[in-house]
Amino acid sequence: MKFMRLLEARRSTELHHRRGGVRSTALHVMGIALSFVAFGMFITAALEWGSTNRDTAALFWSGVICLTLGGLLWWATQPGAARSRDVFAAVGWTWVVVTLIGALPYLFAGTFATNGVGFIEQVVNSIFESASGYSCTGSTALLEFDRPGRGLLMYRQATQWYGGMGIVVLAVAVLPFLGVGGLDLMTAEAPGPSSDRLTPRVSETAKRLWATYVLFTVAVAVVLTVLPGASLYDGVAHSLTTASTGGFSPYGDSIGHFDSITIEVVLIVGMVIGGTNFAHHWRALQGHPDGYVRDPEFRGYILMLVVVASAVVGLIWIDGGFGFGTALRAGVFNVVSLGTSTGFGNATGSGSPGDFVLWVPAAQMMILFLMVTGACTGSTSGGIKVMRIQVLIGHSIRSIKRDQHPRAVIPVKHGRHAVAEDIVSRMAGFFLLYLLLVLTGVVIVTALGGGLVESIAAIVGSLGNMGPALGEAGPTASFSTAFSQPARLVLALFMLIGRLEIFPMVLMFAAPLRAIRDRT
Amino acid sequence: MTANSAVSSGGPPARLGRRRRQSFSRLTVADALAAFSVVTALCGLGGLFDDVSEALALLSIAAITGGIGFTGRRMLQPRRRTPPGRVVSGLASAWIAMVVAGMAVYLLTGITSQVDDALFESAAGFSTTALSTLDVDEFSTTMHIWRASTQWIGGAFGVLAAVIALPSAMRGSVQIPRGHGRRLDRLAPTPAVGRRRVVGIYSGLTALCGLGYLVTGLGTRDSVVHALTTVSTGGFSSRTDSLASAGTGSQLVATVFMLVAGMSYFALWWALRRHSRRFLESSELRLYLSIVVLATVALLVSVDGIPVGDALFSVASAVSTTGYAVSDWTVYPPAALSILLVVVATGSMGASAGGGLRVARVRSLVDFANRELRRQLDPNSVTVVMADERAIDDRELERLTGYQIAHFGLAAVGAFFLALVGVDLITALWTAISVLSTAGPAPGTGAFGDATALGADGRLLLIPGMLAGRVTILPLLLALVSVLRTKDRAMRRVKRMLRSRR
Repeated sequence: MKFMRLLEARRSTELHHRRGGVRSTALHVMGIALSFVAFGMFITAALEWGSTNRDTAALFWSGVICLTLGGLLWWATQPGAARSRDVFAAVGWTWVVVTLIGALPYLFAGTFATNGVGFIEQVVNSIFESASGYSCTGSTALLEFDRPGRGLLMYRQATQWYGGMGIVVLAVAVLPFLGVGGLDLMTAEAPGPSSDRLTPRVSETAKRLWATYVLFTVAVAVVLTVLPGASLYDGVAHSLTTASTGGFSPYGDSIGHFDSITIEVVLIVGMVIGGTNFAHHWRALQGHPDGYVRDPEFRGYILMLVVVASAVVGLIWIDGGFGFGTALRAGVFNVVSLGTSTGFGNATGSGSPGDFVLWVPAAQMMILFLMVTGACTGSTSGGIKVMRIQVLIGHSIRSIKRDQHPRAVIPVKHGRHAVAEDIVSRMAGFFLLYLLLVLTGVVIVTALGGGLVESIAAIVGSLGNMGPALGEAGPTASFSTAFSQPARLVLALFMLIGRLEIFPMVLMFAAPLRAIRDRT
Repeated sequence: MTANSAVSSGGPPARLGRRRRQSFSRLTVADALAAFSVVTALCGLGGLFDDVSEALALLSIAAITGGIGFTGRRMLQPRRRTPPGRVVSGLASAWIAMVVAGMAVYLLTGITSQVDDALFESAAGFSTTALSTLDVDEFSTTMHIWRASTQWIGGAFGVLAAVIALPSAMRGSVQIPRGHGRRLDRLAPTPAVGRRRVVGIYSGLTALCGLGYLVTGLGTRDSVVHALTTVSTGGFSSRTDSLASAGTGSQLVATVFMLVAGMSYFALWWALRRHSRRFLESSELRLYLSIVVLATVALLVSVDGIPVGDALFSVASAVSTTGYAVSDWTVYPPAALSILLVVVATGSMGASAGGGLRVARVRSLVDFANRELRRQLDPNSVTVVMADERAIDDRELERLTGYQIAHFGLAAVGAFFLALVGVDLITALWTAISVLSTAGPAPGTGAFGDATALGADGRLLLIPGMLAGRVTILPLLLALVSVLRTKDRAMRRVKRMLRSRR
């Protein structure tokens, strides 16, 4: 909240009292974001100091570098223009720089310095882990989970919390605050009046969403600690990555480590909530829970989870050779985990029922589709989002109807509202770009040595911020063994592209290029 | 004759005193069966010198289908204005009629006694898909040529549908010049003339291709069979190893004619009329050739020790959606496989015998996505998507995107159903895409298109995909829409019932 207040103060300063310094929206936002990230590094450094005390220095000095750089950028710059290209550049470059600086703790701590791993590979793995964290993807290059200290592992969890929060803040608050932006895009996609603006003031909206996010995280932590009796550390660690639908866990076998149905049930509920539009949660907290039922996207989301979970349970029960109870537990947990783009796994080891790589092909195919679909708009999840899928289905059906009745005026509807044509067009453009990126990514990653099934699932999973892939990169495997170093860097880039919903990452070059062109 | 009746002959004018019933669909079915009967009869007559029992079976089927087809042509006439839906349903009905007749041939000649195998083989033939369950070593020459003829008819059907029937019925969904007139970008002043020209080019190419094979030493039977299945982009072969054991010359002939078969018939018409400038200026053609060159280079880079000829052949086979093979490409490295998959999905040029999304559509989709990207920077900007110096209007783009999104959706649904019957993930995805492109082979079926690996259920599931690939995805989509409508109606009824109970 302080972050938002400061940002708003800076904005008003810019409007009413322009002072000297470099005028760059991108550098300014980057500075604020880095300062914010440094705060998390210091807290986890303190935790590390108080517990395992192995990686304290790594976290502390990373925090110092991050804060220094962020502070300098913040105070040495002031917001410049807030045209679309500037906003995209601000968001895109901020995420790239935060990801790179966020890799420092892993690098300094030598997290990936196992036998035979050179410095370059350590850098690659650190960037991959950082990108996977901030983008809330949940893929990992870690092989030895005993190596990092508890503080560093908590930092890894916190990166996902930042990522989930960051996307909400950047998308819902920061960008509209600057004039135009990510959630402006998303809001514009919403049928009719925006359902995501909780108040006329964007900063108020952001505060409320922030409050909801924090409350939700605390609630998951409390329930995890009290109900199934997880330790406070585990409760907090998993609450951070449940609220953000990130999927990191301090354990190599993820939730399978606990082998507890109660924990899995709590997390299932948490993931479903995390995949829902946060505006609905705020309204529900205000005593208006009917927003859920009225929202066609939420209904579609729940229907999708129920149908896919039932189908997967049926498939692995009948064809997979598991008992009904085992199939129910493995099926529902993994479907919800992947349907919300979280990426937790409940496999207790390779070959256990939760290892969906071993499921029948149809169940794996459904998982692959879930990786593309994602959950609701306005949530912390990734993927194309249910609303876009719904609108695009309507768009396709309209095209067919138009061939039968060429002169008919047929609007595309979402629920009871007609969707504006430019929004339908934008969604179609987004979908096509998404497909184009998947194809390009698969060709690149296979060219860099990835297997076909692994590359398809990893690219789809990275763009959808899912986490585990299929084949050799399944829920019980590490990406460092399944993909080459350059391929991991490509996947890290795709994670950021997916998290920012393509446009900011693709258009972030527009402002610098325009600036260069203007100067020349 | 209206534009929409282009595939149907229309026949002679109605005689005085006899009213001919107007029906586009039935007339198209009659036309298709008539064409089928002529080809089957010719094969049957030739077969009298080869295998008499098979010849008699062919002649009897030819008699029945010819009776239905030619009677239908005499009794029916095309509608003056046929709605697009009727055009599509007519084309689909004609395709289904041919498939059923083809199935009867397989059963009656004793090539197979399994109805599902016969149905699959016939559907693969008329959809120009290179998948088969039969052992071609057991075929007589007559049956080899008849089987190849099914692909030849299927190819002709696809080209006529794409060049004559669909553009006028569904303006914009196929990006080729529209309407009829004297301008050079129009193939013919009337559909009847257009049809004659298309069939002329198609037959001429077949003859040239056959001659090429003959000269390069493929043998008479194999030359005829491969000529019929090259120009149609079918991919059926009279050899179990496709063209792998053929000489380099024959492989080169196949490569050239596969690439030509994947070209737009408009471009071929311009080339024949020596309007070389117009031919060379076609942006779709240039993109098509660029894809071929780039994919070949990519294969050369990604597959160790692959000869240039083999790489070019594999790409030509994929881009034209033919399905021939000269080597087992399924064991290529993943990078090469992903390139081939992208090429198969893209497919050939519009208005060609090939399938796939089509180069022009893919380019327009990319342009459309680029436009939306630019609009993010400036929402008020007006950017026009162009195709060969022609602006594509928003309505056309809307239809294009709607259809192509549905195309991807159908591929996904197809892949899921294949996975449901136990096909592995990659084979399911690849086969669904490949069948919608009318190519066929996938990693699970092997490079030579052995469909037995897909299982009986999997093969049956592919038949609707073949129809969608050859005709258009519209029949399948209409079926889906009608299912959705039924669901909506049922939901409304349930809600009404609940309300009344309250």
